[in-house]
Amino acid sequence: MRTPLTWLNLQQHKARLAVTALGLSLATTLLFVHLGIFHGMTHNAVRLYSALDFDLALVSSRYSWQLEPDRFSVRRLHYLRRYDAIDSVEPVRVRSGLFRNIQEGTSHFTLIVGIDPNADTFREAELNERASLVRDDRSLLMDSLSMNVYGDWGVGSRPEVIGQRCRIVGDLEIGPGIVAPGLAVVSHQTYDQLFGRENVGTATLGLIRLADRADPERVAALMNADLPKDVRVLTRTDLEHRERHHLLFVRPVGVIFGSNVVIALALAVIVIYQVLCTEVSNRLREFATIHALGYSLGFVRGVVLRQTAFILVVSFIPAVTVSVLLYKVLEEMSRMPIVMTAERLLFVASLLAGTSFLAALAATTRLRRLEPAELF
Amino acid sequence: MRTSEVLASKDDAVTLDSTAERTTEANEDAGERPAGSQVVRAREIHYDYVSGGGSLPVLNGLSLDIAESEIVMLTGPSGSGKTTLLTLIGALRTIQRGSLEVLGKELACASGADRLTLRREIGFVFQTHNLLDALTASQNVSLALELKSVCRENRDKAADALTKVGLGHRLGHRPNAMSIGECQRVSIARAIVNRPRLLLADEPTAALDNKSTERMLAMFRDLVDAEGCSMIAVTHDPRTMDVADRIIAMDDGRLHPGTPL
Repeated sequence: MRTPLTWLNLQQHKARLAVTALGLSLATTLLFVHLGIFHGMTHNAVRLYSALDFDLALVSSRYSWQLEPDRFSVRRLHYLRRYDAIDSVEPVRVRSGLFRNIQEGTSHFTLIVGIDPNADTFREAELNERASLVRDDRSLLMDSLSMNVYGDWGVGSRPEVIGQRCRIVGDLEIGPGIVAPGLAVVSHQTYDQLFGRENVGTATLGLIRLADRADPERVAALMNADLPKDVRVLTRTDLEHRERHHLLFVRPVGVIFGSNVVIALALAVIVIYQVLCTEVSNRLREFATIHALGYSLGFVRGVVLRQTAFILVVSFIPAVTVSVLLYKVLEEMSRMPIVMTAERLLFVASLLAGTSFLAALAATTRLRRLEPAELF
Repeated sequence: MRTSEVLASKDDAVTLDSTAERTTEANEDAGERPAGSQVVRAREIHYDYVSGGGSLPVLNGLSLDIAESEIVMLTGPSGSGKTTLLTLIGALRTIQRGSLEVLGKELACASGADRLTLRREIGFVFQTHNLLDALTASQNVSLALELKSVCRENRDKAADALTKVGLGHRLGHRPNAMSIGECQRVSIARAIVNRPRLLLADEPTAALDNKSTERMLAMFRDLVDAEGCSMIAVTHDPRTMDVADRIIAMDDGRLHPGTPL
C-alpha cells in the first residue's frame, strides 16, 4: 500500500488543522450569512408583487419604486380592455401610512395596499378569500408576517391608521417588503378615506392579466406604442427587475448590504487563499524534497490538492450547518425569507473549490520556481 | 587497482594540504579507467548565480570524469563550487554552459521530465536530512521505494535499509523523536534503499558520532563494491577520506591546480 502522505500530513498537527478548518468555516459562514440576507432582501423587494396576480403592470412613467410609484388615472387602465389579448385589469394602490397601536402607544409605518375586495387581486385563492373581508369601511387585514413592531394586535382590535380609527377584520400572509416592517390590505373605499378624495379614480399599479397564449413582451410593446407617455406597461420580469435594481443600487440599505456581500466574498476568498497558502508553504521544503527524490510536480500537486480538498470538506460541512441555524434565527428576527438553497450551496462550494485550486496552484508554482537544489 | 590505494595509507592524517597532494596523485591514475565506464563526464561546465543585476560565477569551466564503483570526495573551501557541482550532477539544477553527462544522459539539453527520470536513479543524502516530519522513519524510506513500485515488500525493504544504518529499533519513530544523527542515518537509508547507481551526499557524516561514521563509511564501501554504485560526497570530515577512491579538491569553481580529468 502506498504511504498515505496526504492523510499523515493532515494528521500531524491536529490543533493546527482544527484552527485552519475553523478559520475557513468562519469565512464560509460569513459568506453564507451575507448571501442569505442579500437574497432575502432582493426577495423582499418584490414580495408584494409576487403575491399579486398579473402578467403585465401599468405604472406611471414617473414610477420610481414601490414606495414612490406616482399615480395615474384608472381610465388609462380601462382603456386597455379593448385589446383582445387582455383578459382582465385591476387597479391597485400602494402607499405607506402610520399605524398606531392605541393600547400600547406604539407607532410605525406600514405599507397600505388598496384593492377591490370583490376582485381576485392575488394569485392565491386563500388570499383573495381573505381580501373579501375588507368590504366594510375602515376595515383592514393585517399581515401576520409583519415584524413585531406593531404591538399586540388581533382580529377585532382597533388601531389608528393615518389618524383614523380602523378595525382589523382578519389577517393574511404576504410578508413585509423592504419599504415597511408590515403590510395592511384595505378596500379602495377605505384607501380613499385614509389618503383623501384626491386619490379617487387613480391607481399606482394596474394589474393586467392576459388571455391564454398571449406573449407578454409583445403585448407590452404594442401597448407602450399605443398609450400616452404618462404611463407605461411593464412585464412582471421588468417590474421586479426595476424594483430589485432600485433596492440594490439606489436605496442606501441596498447599497450597504450589496457592498457587504462583495466585501464578504472578497474576505472569504482572501482568508481561504491565505490559509491554504500558509498550509502549503509550511510544507514547501518537504514538497521540494519529494520532488528532488524523483516524484513529479503532478504528484506533489495531487498531495496539495487532496490536502486542501480535505480541509475544505471538514470546514464546509460545519459552515453549512451553522449557516442553516443562523438562517432560522435571522428569518425569525427579520421576517425575511432567508433559506439555504441548492444554488447557493453550489455557488459557495464552487467558489471555495476554485479559490483552493488557485491557492494550491500558486503554492505549487512557488515549488516549481524553488530549485530542488536549494535543499542542499 | 583502486585509486585510494595509490593515494595514501589509512594511517595518513588527512588535511586539506595532503588532500591536494593526494588529488594530484589520484588524477594521474585517471587515464587507466576503461572508456565508457564513467558515470559522470563533465566538460567545461560554467555556472553563475544571478541575483539582482549581477551574476556570481561559481563554476568556471570545470571538467571531470567519475567512474563506476568509485567513491569520490569533493573538498575545498566554502564557495568553491562543490555543492553547486553536486546539484548539477544530481539534475537538481539546470546546467548553463558546457556538457554534463550523468549515467549516460546528457543534461545540457535535458527536459524537466528527463531530469526527473534521472533523479530516480540517484540516491541523495542532503546536508540537512530533509525527512518528512509527518512520516515515521520506515515511511520516509518507503516513500523512496514507492518511486519504483508499490508492493508489500516495501515495508521489509525499508526495515532492512534502516537496520543497515543501525536504526532497526526506530522504524516507527518520527523525525522529531530522533536525534539529528539518527535523522541523518534515516536519510542515508532513504538514499540507498533503491540501490541507486549513483549516490550523492553533502556532508553525510557531519552529524554523526565516530561509531556511526565508521558504520556508514563501511556501508558505503560495501554498497559500492557489491552493487557497482558510484558515490560523490562533499565533505570536510577527515574521517571520510579513508574510504575515498579519489579526493578532488576544488577552489574558485575549478579543480585544484594540477588536477587533470
